[in-house]
Amino acid sequence: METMTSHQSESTPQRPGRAAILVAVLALVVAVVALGVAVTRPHQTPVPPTVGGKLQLDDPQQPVQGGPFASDGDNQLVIPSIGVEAPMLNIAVDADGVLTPPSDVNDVGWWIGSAKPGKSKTGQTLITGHTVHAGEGVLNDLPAVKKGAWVGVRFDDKVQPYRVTDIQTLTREEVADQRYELFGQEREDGRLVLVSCTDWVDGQYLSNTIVFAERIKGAVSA
Amino acid sequence: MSRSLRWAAVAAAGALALTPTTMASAADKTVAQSSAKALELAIAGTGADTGTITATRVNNGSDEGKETITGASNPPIAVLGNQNLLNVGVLAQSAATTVDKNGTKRDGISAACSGIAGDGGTAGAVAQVGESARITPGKPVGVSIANLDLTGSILIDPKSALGPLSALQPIMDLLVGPLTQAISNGLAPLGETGIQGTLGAVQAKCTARPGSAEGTANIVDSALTLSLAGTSVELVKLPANPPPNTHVITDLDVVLNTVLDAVEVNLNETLMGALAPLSAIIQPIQDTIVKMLIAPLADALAPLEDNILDITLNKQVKSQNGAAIEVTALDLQVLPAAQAFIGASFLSGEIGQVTCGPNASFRVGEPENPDPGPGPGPNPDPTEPPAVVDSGVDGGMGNPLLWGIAGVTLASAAAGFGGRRMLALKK
Repeated sequence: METMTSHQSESTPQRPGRAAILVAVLALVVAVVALGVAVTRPHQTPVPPTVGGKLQLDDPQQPVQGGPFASDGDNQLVIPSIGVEAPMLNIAVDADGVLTPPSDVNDVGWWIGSAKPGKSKTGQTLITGHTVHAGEGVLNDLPAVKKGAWVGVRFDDKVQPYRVTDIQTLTREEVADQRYELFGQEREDGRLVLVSCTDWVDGQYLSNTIVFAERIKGAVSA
Repeated sequence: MSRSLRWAAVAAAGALALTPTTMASAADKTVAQSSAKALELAIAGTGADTGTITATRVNNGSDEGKETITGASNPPIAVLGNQNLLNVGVLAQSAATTVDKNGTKRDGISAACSGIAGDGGTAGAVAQVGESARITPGKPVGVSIANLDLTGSILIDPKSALGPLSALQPIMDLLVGPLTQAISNGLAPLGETGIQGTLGAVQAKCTARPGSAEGTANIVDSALTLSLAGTSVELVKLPANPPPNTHVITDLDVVLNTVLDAVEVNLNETLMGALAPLSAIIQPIQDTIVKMLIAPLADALAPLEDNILDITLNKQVKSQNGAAIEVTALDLQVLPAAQAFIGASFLSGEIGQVTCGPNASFRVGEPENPDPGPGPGPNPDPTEPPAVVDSGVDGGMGNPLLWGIAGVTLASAAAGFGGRRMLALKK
């Protein structure tokens, strides 16, 4: 036993320590980076476009005075009533017909097969973002959106305002059955469709929350 | 067998196994659809209908897709068998599809028309979508529904289509017997009451295009009448172009008022004879007596509205977010309360039933559901809407905050582990 102890103390006195320090440093790096990501994307309370303190829902021709949009020029979705101010990435439907939002649960995705907000007055614009069961998904609060709420989408430096007209909860089967009506590009009004998941049962989401918003005429510069 | 040959055999077997799947996934997609049924009758749940004509157009990769029509258009009256509820002269049912062309885009369009008319009427057909199908009336279609003997019960009219079902009389007695027994004395002088009707022409039409569907019903010269104490009272003249889901049942107030008026006259005449010597001085008392008798009678008759007849004109049911519609020009339920006893209305009739949609669009030369290959990858048609929006995650490992907390915990644990090892080595 003494020999063994002596052998260990001679041959491996530093290795456990180096490994532990390495693991600790890596873990701390992960922690700092992750916390940094979380901290640099705080849920500020965005302010919808206002003029003289009044919400500009009925006069969309007016330029947005500053508005809730970030100044970095990225495409962005803003839903002030539920505190959403999210970067928007381009996403595509895969060969199985599945549309998946960006992997970062703080981002939303614009389906590239749908109408470009602020540019197309026909078809409809589909944007989706994650609901996270444990919390903090960008569209966790989507079911709390009310009819009449203002929604803004900045796309290629143009801001397109929308007004929420309807909120529906549909099962996955209903969504599949009605996909052409819900997401198809045959419409003439260029409405906005926001989609996330809901109805968490036995470790999976069984339904989608779908918010429909009408396009307020007159996209304005960001 | 060499290794390369074994792999070739496996690959060939796999290819063979995949073939049916590939073929199934390339199945043609329906882009337009409609159906029509002129008439359906059911007595105590057992009935007959004129069959259904169905038009379906699929995208098979060709310029206009491919249309398939099944079922008979404008079937002969003989399909109704020996019923004599309706003396129908013409049965009309037609369905068709087409496509609207706009560049390479094709919108599926569908239409249907169905209905009935009396002898001498004619039936138009939806030979081409967009043409207006029309049913022109001939002689009125007579409807003999049932006789209502208010002194005892609803009696089955042996001369009507319900005659062969007289064995069901006990069920009807059970349904309305207590009601009518309670008022039988007051109504005895009124004798037998009958409900009949005439229908000029009844038709329903619908059209659909991708995302929307609409329908209408047209009714020509149609009315229901009530025979009472030797006189005929028009219960309701059915409107020519009824708004969607027009419910006729509330108009049976006419029945109640007619019956009550007749009873009041009868009571007054009786009382007048008995009280004649007291002349006009007694009038207030007479009025009071009549009111006392009439009021409970009115209460007792009110349920007739729910128990005898239920008619809906231009019945419309939309589905698929408004992309599909079912229209029934005239939906008739006699004794709907029988549902509780025999599982169906005593008699139900649906005249002029059509469906249109849901329809879809496609692009020429792009069959729907192309072979997606061995696994998910980019969708070959970027405009094909998603069937699934997979926007939910558990979040147990996906949240940056949780990762941060886990990292701190892991760091602490690692530091603690290292420290313990260092301490152990220093012993």
